[in-house]
Amino acid sequence: MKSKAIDIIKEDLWKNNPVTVQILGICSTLAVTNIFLNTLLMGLGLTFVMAFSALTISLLRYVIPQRVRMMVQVLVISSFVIIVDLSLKTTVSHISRALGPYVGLIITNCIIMGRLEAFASSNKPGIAFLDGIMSGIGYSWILLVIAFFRELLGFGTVVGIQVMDPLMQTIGVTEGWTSWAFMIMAPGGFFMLALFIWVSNSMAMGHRNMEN
Amino acid sequence: MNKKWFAIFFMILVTAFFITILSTVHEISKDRIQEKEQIQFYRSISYASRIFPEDIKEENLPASSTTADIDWNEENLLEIFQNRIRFVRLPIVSSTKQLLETRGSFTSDSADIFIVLNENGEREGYGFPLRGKGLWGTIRAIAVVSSDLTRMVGIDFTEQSETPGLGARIMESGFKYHFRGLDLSGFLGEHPEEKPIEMVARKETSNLAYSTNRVEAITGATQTCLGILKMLNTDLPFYLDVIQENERLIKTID
Repeated sequence: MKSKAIDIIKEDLWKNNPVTVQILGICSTLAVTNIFLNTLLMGLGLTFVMAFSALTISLLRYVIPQRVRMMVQVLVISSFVIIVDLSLKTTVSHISRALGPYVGLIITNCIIMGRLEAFASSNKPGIAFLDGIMSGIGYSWILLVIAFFRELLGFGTVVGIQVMDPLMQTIGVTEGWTSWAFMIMAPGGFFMLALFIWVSNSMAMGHRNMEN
Repeated sequence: MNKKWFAIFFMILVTAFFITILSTVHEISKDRIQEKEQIQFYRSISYASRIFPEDIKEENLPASSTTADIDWNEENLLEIFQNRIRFVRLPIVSSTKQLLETRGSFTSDSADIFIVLNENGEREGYGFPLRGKGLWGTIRAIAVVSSDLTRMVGIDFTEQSETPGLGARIMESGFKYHFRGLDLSGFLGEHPEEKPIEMVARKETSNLAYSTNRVEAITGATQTCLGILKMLNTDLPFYLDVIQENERLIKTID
């Protein structure tokens, strides 16, 4: 059990990461990563939905009829997404408003459906819950790294705080930072994601070669 | 039980279970959400009216910031709202009504607007809601125009479902700032040769520094920008007409 849990953590965070290896959840990866805070909330929301959907599906795995299993999975996912949406509206309504359709987009995230079908529907609740959390974190940390660089280069800010202007002025560039508009737009997301996949897969390949 | 019937029965049972949970959560959070939405509405009106907390200067806000990022003390916000905003319902006179009927957009006998007062209680501008279509859905906004109806004081978008990272950037200060000081004389027939409001690819100076009828569009969000342009060019003249026609009534409210 313990070694299985460690394997899941390693697999979801790095070896079989949903974004860089399985190439899942790309739509939201490109859409939400231009602002760090939005990405963080998206990641937290997805992790919550992922974990509790996995737990629910795992608990019901022996009673869900095969022919309606996907309908049940979508129903469970949507219910948890609505709970996340209502919670955000009640507690941090301004952030919920800023996120707009981002939260609803969690329903369409194929990582959730993929993990429910591939793992939660055939594993025990505890391990399925852990897999849900780790898949969510595995997705979130990649997005956060991409969002950090996109926001930094695109707006010159980190979590909304201007850092590039003072930095440029310190090194003598009086006009401050010229924002890379490209980074804020979807092509910037493609570029950063491709770069990240290239670097991470090269590292993983180097690691495997060393092991061999 | 027959497998087919069990599947249907199971689906109904699971659906009923989750509907019960969601209804309960909704019922518990309903009042709090309404309260928060009301505060958001006040924030939007303040932003469009160019009213900010004392220690915040709009020029210092990051271009990516939204109305929600402005650090308001809720009590101060409510106080400002009570002292400086007055809601009024203006009747739509027959000529405007006829025009609306011909466009097929007539819905009511009256239009709800609000009057923005300055700190001395003098009329500073008029605000009203706008509604248009973006790329993916409805865009709603609150616009405020100066009391002489020649300039736009500001705009804030209250609802949108545009593409995150592209069209959704209409919520950012960097885009909305171009509407501050926007020249509206095109609607008043002073420059009939010009389009009332135009979107351009690049605008070097702000409309506060040098007022023009131009707003800088968002690259990669053409349909959203065109939707906003259409919304402004359709709804603004209607409200400007209604305000002009009811000027006498508005003065009595002062």
